Amino acid sequence: MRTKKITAMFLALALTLCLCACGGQQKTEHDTFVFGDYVGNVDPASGAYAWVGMRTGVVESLFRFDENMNVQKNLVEDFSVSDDGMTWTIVLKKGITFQNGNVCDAEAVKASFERTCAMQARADGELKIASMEADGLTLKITTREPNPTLPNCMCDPYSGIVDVKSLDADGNATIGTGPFKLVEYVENERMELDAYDGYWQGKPASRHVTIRSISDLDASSLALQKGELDACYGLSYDARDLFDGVSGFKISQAATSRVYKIYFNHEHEFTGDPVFRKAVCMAVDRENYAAVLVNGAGTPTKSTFPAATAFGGDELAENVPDYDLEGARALLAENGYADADGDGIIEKNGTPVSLQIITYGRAGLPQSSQALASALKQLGIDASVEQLEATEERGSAGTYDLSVYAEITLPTGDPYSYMMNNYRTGGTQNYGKYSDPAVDALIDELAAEFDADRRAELARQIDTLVLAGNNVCNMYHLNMFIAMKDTVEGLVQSPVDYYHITYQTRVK
Amino acid sequence: MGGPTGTKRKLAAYLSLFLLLCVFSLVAGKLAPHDAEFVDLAAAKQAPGGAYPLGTDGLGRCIWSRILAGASSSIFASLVIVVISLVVGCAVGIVSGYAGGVIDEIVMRVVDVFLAFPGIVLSIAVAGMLGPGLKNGVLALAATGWTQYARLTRSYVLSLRQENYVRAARLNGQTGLSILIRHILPNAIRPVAVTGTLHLSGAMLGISGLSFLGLSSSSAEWGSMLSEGRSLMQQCPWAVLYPALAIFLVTILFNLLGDSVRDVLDPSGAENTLKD
Repeated sequence: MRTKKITAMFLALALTLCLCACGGQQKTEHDTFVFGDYVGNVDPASGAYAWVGMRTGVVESLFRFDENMNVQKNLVEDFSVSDDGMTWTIVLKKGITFQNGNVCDAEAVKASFERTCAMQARADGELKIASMEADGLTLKITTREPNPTLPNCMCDPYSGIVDVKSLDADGNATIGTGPFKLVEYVENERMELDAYDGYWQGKPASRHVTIRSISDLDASSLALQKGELDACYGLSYDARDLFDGVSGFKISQAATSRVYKIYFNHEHEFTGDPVFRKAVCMAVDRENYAAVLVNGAGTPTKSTFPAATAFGGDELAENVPDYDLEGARALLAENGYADADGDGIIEKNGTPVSLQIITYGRAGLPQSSQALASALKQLGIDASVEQLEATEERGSAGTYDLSVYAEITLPTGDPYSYMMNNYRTGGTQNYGKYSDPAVDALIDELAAEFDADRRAELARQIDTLVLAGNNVCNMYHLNMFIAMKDTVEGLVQSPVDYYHITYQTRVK
Repeated sequence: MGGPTGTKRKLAAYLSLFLLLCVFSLVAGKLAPHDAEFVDLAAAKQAPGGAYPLGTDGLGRCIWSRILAGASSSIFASLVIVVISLVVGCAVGIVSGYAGGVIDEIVMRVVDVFLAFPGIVLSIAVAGMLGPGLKNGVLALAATGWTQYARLTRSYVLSLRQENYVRAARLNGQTGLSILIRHILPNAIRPVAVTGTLHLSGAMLGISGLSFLGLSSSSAEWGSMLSEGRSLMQQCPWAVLYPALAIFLVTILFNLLGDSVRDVLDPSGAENTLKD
């Protein structure tokens, strides 16, 4: 009986070990790279998901951003613009082919732009192409009006170059010049990509790439921990702790131009008062927001644009105060904000100071709003947070006091569109109804300025003016990160989310 | 099982615990060592101990204080859901069963429509339409909870109205309303009370579920605490463990109370359940 029991226990142990061993063998092949990311249509003209093609290494653009958001030539050998700023001459690199073997010449690029502009209004509106002439590898583009930011716009995913002669059964252009060719796409689930050995920069290091979409962020973290994924983008900020500095894993992160900020309703009693706005700014603990609320994935900032760019830097924000609750309390008291009735809420001219904060669900925003409301309560301000699906409608209606909001400031590497929309009188995203004629004049000058140095100078002047009155309160720029196994090479987070898989991406 | 005295004693014990819990939840907020909404980023993700007996969450808020502050909203929201569902459902069921005919047919088809969808799915849809907030969460769950009372009451009314004492009352010239209130309602109330107490735990899980999905309260509520702590489950398990434990214990108490009420008020129902 005793022998039987021992044998049974031994068998059970052996079975358990076998099962464990089976689990351990569930590894990804080294020539296949498995990446957790969004999946979607790779066609650059497809609109909302235009960046998928570029992120997955299927599609490339003529120009691309470097790590400091400067525009660099990519498929381009040389380019120039005429003196009147209307005609651009672009010479393409030799030897670039699409993944079906067709040559990528000026005619193919012209056809690609024509198709995208016909299908996507934003591309047409920003590129402003009037006509194109193709001659071998030389493409001449004439614009409808001077467009200083044309190379910037040609970095945008909608400017991805595709072979329009080879559309798939649904009419999508899926053949690009990138290192990987799309072979299968299962909506909301996965994409299968094969290496394209004729890639112009060299043979891709991985033979196959699988992109897996896992909608639940915590499940994505577990998949990477378990080894089902080699790397993953878009994890929750709390998940950084599971991979940053943990044996077997590493992360790559970069400061993006997405700014987390507060904008004020300038038409409301308290938030229309510059002194009150300054006191609110003094309640913002930028360092801790960036370190705790997004778990270190933030870079504290006072300026609108990242300090690494030519347009940003905290020297532009001399009048923007540091975190100082005591100072804020004193400032409010000096300016007639006092708790006369002893109910814990300060009043101004007999009116209790209460603020309606609106925000939406993007990671870090509800937390920032709660932290701000808690700090404002310590100043005796009755602040309440309302989390909405989207704040734009309420912003336009003006039914709020301040909004905690996040926005990409350099979508094309250039400050004009953000400043035009946010800071110009009547701008489409100027929900706070901020207005300054001096700022408007500088923005109008920026619209037509071709000189890069002068553009940067104008952007800095505008930001200095806007920040001087604490008209907005920038809190931190978001760092995006990719978590990966420590054996992964050639996968780097860029300041824009356009580039993930490259020809060098592989597992050692 | 302990006999009738044993079951009554059990009921008394659970009822006392339940009442104690209700009273406690009313004053719990005052007992909290910290302000439940106070954000202290320097104290974020602290393990249980010292100034924070159950640790802190990702914003440095005291979990023990938040559990205490959330007790009243979590527990009283469940009670309100049950009361609204019970009152509305009983009224509809009694009217439907006593009136009969077309009214009964229409009301029951409406009930069928509500029952055609899983309760929580319908609640999520209603809460989504009404917008986030504890009040809207309660309304969403009550909007789907009343149907069980309507069906139950109607079935009792249908059988009770054939009873001789109801016929006698009718012959005696009593009005329909008087017969409903004086003769039918008192006799149908027992099974309704049993269903109500058993519904408490479901309502508790329902409101926590809606909060977890962000469709109910955004302040200290046990379900929303679970949701907020979910991404910290590996790093700070206490952010999830203690709110979950609070929901678990209170739900268990509600279930035990419901079972005891059923054992006392409707012993045949208890036997049937055991046989099933």
